[in-house]
Amino acid sequence: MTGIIRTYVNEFVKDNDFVVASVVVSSDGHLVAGAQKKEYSLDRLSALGSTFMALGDSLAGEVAMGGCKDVIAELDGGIVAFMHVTRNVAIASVSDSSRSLGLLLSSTRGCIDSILRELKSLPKTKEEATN
Amino acid sequence: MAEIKIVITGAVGAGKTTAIGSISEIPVVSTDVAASDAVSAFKASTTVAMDYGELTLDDGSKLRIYGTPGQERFSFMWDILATGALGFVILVNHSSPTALADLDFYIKRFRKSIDESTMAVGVTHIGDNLSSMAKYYDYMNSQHLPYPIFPVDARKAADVRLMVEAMASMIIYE
Repeated sequence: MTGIIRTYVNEFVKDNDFVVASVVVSSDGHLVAGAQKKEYSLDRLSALGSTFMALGDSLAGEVAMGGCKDVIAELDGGIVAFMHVTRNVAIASVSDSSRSLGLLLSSTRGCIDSILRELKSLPKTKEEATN
Repeated sequence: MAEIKIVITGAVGAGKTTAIGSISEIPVVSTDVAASDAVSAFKASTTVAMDYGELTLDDGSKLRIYGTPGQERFSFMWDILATGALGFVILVNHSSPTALADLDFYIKRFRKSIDESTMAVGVTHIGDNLSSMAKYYDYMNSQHLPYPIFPVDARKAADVRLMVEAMASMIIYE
């Protein structure tokens, strides 16, 4: 399963010029898969990703506005978008263009959809895998 | 009345989230998520950002209590939460084979902030085995750290409250 996610994250970063890094992380901050064009610490980015999503989820609960879909950090030199893949998995995408918010959100959402579609098509039992 | 920020820190499983939940008079702001690593062997969830609770003391002072994540990969949150804190509580899980090393690690990690404020140590999971407290007193003496140490059941509000009230007194009156 990690291999499938890694493939999609690699393609996502490679195919989008403005995306310089992306990590898929567990809710407790472990790197599941990542790709980058820079030299970031993907482990630290993963821990930060889970922290941001947890704060977003807590904020959503505090103001009773449902769940947190994404958390956006607009920086001087770019944008980082944190989004849920599933309840216990999130993705963080880093863009080095501060004018790419819409593109970053839509392309990251596309990457999530691809991962989810692939994961849904996986056999759920050993029996299904054998057949 | 005074508003006092304190930080409760310590290793995974020391009881930080439980302690804040025991004494907070507001619903605790929690960022616990499902644990997926070795932590899951002894607890289902782990803190990845912070816990936050509040406690009003008898003199009207309000304690704003922040709990840190225990795992070192979230250490960026330790520095964020330490900013502006007037007191630190380090919780140590006595049942851990690395209890003293954990205490040493967290004291050293927060030493600069502690030197500018104050601290207390809470020893959890010690039950009635109070003679074992000696090793923590010995450690603190050897490090010339003149701070109080309490045996604490993090589930018991009275235990946790005694510890944080003692520290609040040190902050207010020293």
